[in-house]
Amino acid sequence: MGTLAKTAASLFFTISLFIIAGCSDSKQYNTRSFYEMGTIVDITLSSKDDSLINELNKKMESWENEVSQFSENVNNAIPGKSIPVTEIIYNLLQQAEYYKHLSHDKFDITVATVSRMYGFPEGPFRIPDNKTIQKKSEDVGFSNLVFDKKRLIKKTDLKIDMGAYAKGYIVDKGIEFLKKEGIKSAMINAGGDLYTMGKKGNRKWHIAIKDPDNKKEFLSIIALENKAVATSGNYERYFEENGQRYTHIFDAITLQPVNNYKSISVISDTAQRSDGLATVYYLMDVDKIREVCKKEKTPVLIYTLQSEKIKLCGWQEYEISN
Amino acid sequence: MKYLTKTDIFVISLLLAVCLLPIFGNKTINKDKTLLLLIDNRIYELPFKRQILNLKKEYGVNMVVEIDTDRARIIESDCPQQICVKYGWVEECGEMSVCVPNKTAIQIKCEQRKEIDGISQ
Repeated sequence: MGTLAKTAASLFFTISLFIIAGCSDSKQYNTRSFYEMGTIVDITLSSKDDSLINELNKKMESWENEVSQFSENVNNAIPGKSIPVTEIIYNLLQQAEYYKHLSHDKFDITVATVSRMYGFPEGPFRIPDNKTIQKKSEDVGFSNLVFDKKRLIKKTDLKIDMGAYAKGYIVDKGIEFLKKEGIKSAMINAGGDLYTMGKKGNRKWHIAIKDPDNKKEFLSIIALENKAVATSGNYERYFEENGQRYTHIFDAITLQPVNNYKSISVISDTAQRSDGLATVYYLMDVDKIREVCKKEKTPVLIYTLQSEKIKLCGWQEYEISN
Repeated sequence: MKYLTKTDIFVISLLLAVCLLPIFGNKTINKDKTLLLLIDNRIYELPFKRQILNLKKEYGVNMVVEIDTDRARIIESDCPQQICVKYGWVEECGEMSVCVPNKTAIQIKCEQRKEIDGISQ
């Protein structure tokens, strides 16, 4: 019995312990679901700390209230009235400006002025006549919002909706909170806009992209670690009239709802970016998406109206076989 | 063998085998489905038994759920957009039909399908 055998024995022991510890690890995750931000939010944690989940739930609720209260204030205010701006709101407004620039003005949070005439987001839905839209068109435009870190004034009678990316922003803030509490592994999924923190046990988080045409299949399955993914599609929020589909995504230049793709999914470093870019890309043609996703370094999965999958900017590198 | 007796090796091997079992077991996807009813922040498990369930009496929401042997759907709801009713049957793993105004949803959970941690839609 030499040193070699001794080393081998202790090595065997150590490896065994690691594997045993590792295998019990994956069982310790638990998921809690809440109704928040107009959807179901799933929080998956490696700890059974219920009070922490409850605290996170309360925080997310208060951030959501802050955002929806601000939107309501803006939408109900008469032009010229000063509306208070908080830190969260200021961040969101800056993002709105960024997305508008990136999309060459196709993305604009003030297009809600028109989308509300169609009945979005809550319904009942109707198609307004062109004259009414034209009359309102001059009110639309992000440049009609004047704001700084303290207050905002709208110059015209417009309405705003930050729903395209506020949900992702709140997911990110939730993750930030969990990190401060010492959590190293978690996932927050707000109705498909999600962030994965760390690994799940000893592997990455496995995320499936919904196939709107086939419930038994997924468009793609990806493995994520410290990344976010979000999907914008034409299959959840829309209405149909005379055989035409009217989606909730509006082009601020044409002031019309767009039905460009079945869905667009985006991987990025924050849920807010994935969320916002999924909508921004939805407004663009494939060539433009190819160009912008390279610059933004965000993998994209496009599912076209013809049910064709287009993978751009390294989406394949995240895919795992089903 | 000074450092590891036969018993040691046996115990470790046994532990390893028990530990590795679920990894191999996972490959065969068990389609055992559970039907969950989510109301507010409470979760109930419903049996897959053919029935029409009125949620008013027991859960206090104005909705009716139809349950089949391996699927379920919301057939009545007092919410304005009727998204949950229009959704139709939920039958696949992870699928859900949600009524946000009533904070109520039905969902299919498959405990054995461990490969997928989340769905983006």
